[in-house]
Amino acid sequence: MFLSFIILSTFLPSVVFSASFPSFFNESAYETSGHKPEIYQLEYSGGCISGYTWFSYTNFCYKSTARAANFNDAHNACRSEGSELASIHSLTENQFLVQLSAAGNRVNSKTNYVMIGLIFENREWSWTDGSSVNYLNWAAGEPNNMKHELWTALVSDVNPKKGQMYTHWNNVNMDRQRAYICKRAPLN
Amino acid sequence: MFQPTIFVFSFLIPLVSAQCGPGAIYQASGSRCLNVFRTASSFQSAEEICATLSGHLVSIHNTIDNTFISSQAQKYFDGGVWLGAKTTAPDVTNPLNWYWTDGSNFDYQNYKVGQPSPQGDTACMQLQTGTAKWQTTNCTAQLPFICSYSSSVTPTCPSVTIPSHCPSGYTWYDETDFCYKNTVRFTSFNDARSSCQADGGDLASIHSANENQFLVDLSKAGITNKDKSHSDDVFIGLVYQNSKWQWTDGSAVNFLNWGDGEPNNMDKEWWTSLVADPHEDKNTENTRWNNVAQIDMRAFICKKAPLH
Repeated sequence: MFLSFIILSTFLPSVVFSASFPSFFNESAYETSGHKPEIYQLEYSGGCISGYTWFSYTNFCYKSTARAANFNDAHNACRSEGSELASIHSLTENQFLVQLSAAGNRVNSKTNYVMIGLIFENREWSWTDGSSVNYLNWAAGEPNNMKHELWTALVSDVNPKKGQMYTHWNNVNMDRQRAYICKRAPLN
Repeated sequence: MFQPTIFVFSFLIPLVSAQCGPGAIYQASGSRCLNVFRTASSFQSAEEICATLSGHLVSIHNTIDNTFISSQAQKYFDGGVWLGAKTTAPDVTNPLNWYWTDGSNFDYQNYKVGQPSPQGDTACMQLQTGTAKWQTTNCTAQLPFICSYSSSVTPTCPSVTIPSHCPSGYTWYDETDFCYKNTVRFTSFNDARSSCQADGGDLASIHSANENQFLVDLSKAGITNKDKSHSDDVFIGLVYQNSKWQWTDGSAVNFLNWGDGEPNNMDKEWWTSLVADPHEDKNTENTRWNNVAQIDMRAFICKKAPLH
């Protein structure tokens, strides 16, 4: 009990320190313009758990896992870590996830995409993490095959046969895709 | 939702844990704590419960551990119990298609005769405590389970493991307390190193099997490479200089993980790649290292210290 109290007390200052800085980088850029030390510190304000990557633009943590998974597998895997399949709300966030999940070599199969959290349910597309659908990035001609392609994948590599799909979204069926991306808030 | 769970486990495990709390079993090899739960759960629910202990369903990597874990579990019940192995591939006989939820290598099996058998789209692994043999099962089956977590972590105080802070685009790894970034860009060793240094870091060094596995997971594409070139591998910071292998970040070379027959061609192959994805022609090299000549490569990994 006593030992635990000491351990906790030594960590409290860290929490206070972190909480004293603004959450969003863009917002703080104006306030701290010209003050390098503060900008430097802000670049380190991510508090993501092990294995997750902080993105300062959104202040969220992401993890791309290259393991064959369909929507159900990916959805469950993210939730088992306290995360959700990633939602995307801007071109900037989209490009970050393309970089995070890119394979970087020859990708020519229709199951070599990356699962994200957009699903077609109750006659509308929605994010599994509950955030609003305020940005869309479908590839040309997508979404199609609405009878069975009710889930969404990010095309993070160039497919020689479908070059225009690169960085865009494609709705898919329950086939396993190459990877999936989880998203969660930082701890502090 | 979150609070009641913590309270329940706080009741079961004292705030101050010597090695493991009462009810938990200390596993000397690996310094792990094991908790056996009799409550029958699906694989997914079991893993989620283990996560609340800052752990995962248990993984097994050798006969000694298999015997130990089976005998400990048998004290609680006879029958099937979840292990943390799962596959989402139809071919359940290929170990490469399986993974442990704790991220370790699926490098040991102890199947019952006739196993493993396909279970449809996905399959999960159960251990028969009486025989210490394994068999595949539908992941929705309801079974008791075993959680495993590090004995150095006090599970009732998750705030103790506040993650260190890494810059944007970098990934923190708790076991080493370093930040890593995998960059997917076809590039040479020199350009890769310059890129890491521009970030204030260096090409990644590797000092344990766990760190190695973490970097494999971070950088793998999830694709089996068909051609024989190694341009689909990933640069790490090991170079042959002054008649010895050295890490570019200056750390000691205290762990090696060469593929079979490597390093070879020492007249020109002075740089090192991490084989993050399997090659059809050299399956045994997957997750291990290969020395290469001056070639461009698909990706590279940077490593730098975090700001606390």
